[in-house]
Amino acid sequence: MFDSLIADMHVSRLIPEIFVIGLALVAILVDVVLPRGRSTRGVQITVLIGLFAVIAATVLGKENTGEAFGGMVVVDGFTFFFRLLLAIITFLVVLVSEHYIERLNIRIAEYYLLLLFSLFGMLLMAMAQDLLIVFLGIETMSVSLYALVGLSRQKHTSNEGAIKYFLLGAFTTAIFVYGIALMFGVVGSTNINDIVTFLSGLGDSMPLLAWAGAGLILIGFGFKAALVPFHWWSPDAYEGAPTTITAFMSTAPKAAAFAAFLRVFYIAFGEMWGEWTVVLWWIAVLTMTFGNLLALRQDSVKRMLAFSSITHAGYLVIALLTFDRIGAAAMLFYLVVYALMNLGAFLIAIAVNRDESEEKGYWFDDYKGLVFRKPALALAMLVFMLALAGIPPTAGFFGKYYIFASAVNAGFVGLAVIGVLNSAVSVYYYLRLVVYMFLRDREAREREGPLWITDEITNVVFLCLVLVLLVGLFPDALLTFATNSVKMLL
Amino acid sequence: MTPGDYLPILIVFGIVGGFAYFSLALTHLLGPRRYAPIKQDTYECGVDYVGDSRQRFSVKFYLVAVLFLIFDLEVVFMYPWAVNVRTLGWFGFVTMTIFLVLLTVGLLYEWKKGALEWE
Repeated sequence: MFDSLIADMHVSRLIPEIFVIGLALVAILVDVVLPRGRSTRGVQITVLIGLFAVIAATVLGKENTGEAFGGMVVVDGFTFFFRLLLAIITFLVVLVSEHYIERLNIRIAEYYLLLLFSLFGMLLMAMAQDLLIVFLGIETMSVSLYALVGLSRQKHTSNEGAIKYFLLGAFTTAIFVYGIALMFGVVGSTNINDIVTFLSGLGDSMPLLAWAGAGLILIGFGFKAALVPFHWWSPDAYEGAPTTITAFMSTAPKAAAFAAFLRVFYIAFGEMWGEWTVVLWWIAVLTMTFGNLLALRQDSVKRMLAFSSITHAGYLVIALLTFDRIGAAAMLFYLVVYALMNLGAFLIAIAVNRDESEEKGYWFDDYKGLVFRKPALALAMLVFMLALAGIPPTAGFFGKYYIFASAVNAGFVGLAVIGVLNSAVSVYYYLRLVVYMFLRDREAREREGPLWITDEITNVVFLCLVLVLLVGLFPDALLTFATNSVKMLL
Repeated sequence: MTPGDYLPILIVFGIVGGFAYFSLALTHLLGPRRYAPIKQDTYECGVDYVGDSRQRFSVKFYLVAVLFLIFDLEVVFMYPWAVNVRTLGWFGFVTMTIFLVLLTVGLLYEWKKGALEWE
């Protein structure tokens, strides 16, 4: 009786996601079996092996594409791209975490479990073809992140960030669901293919309700991607979270939010796109400018990177609003590049920070004379800062170049100019850090504490560094991959 | 459907609200008022009340409530399945097994973490 239903499920297409959930279950059991307080190492190793299996399953199942679960999700090149990106980011974050949570005195296995659950949510978002699955993915991701942000319980900043993120996030979720409900009221379905079929049949007589629904859904995505004016939670949440989580949050969930944003707006609301570009134009300008202006004034590197992550989301919106294949490919390209350079920068910030028990920490002052103390680390930081500022020969340059080129190509010359100007402003605060590193003064010598460098941090920073330079010199391979990944969307 | 079609609903809302306020106002105006200490007391199912309601109590209660909620909802899913178990066949059985495995791991987790111990 259920044969057709089972055949429609195509469970084999979801093997990476099933692996993630299975891995979470195994990790819970490992945590329970090992003696209390000493289980995190075992859980970490389990999770690393499991994530390797997830990545392997993704690569091996690359050809197994198509819809699954009756069209609720779709596995295509786009899904493949984000599965790889998200799983690899999670892998790297888990790799560097063990010593760091020991340093923060939060050695609990739930750290890894929550990372896995949020990875599962993000994977759902990347493959969702139904607004309800998008919602489910967003919630699975967010609820785990709320807890992760507040993990260093003895710090006020951590609690503050978590509660702000949680309250605003819960509120935005309600707005997002309301948008879905309105859309369902218009179309009678939450499937994005049904939505586009219905809306394109309407022609010019688009009902007001559809605009309202799409607008509320836009707010939901804007919040998750921390776009101005829905960004208020992000600086505090980023600052309060354990820094490995900040690195994770500013890369993976952002990528997942943009993945779902792109799929939903390009496919479901493609008919309304002309008008949304006006809204997104302003969002892009505000996001870039606002993030930049506030990043200028920070004296904490962690907070500076938090605001700079808002700015980078603004660049991504530029690529998004072009509504063509070139722009979408530029966005995917930039997401990878941004993940690499941001992970690297945050990990070095962890290494340089002297005292984790301090409420804020991560001062610019700690970087004074870094190049004389640890030249390799300082040079790596230099490369990441140049990449974030978008200066060749790093990958950051090509990331920005493709985005602005796609904007010009789609006729948004003004927006591209504003983007370039913002990029020029951002050079100031990125290079300010570089200047600090090259300063030699006596006062700094006295403040010097030992650097906190573990083997894992060295390895991951080195990997990010090599990739940032490699992609900067040979961007074609990644760009081709990104272009192929968005083929089925447009 | 045009917005005009919803007019009856709006009228019903008006009648409901109007009736509620009308009866409140009427009892307020006409009803006799004789106060006594017992009448002014907090109503607690007819029993004499004990202390103030604004006191702190242990976070353990919340934990128990949350844990209860999960396994209470489990039953909500199991009942419809149990009723239709023949129709659903192996498909339903496998689905339910997966669901129960997930929950069992959760139970094991909270048990081993000591969430079920009161002290």
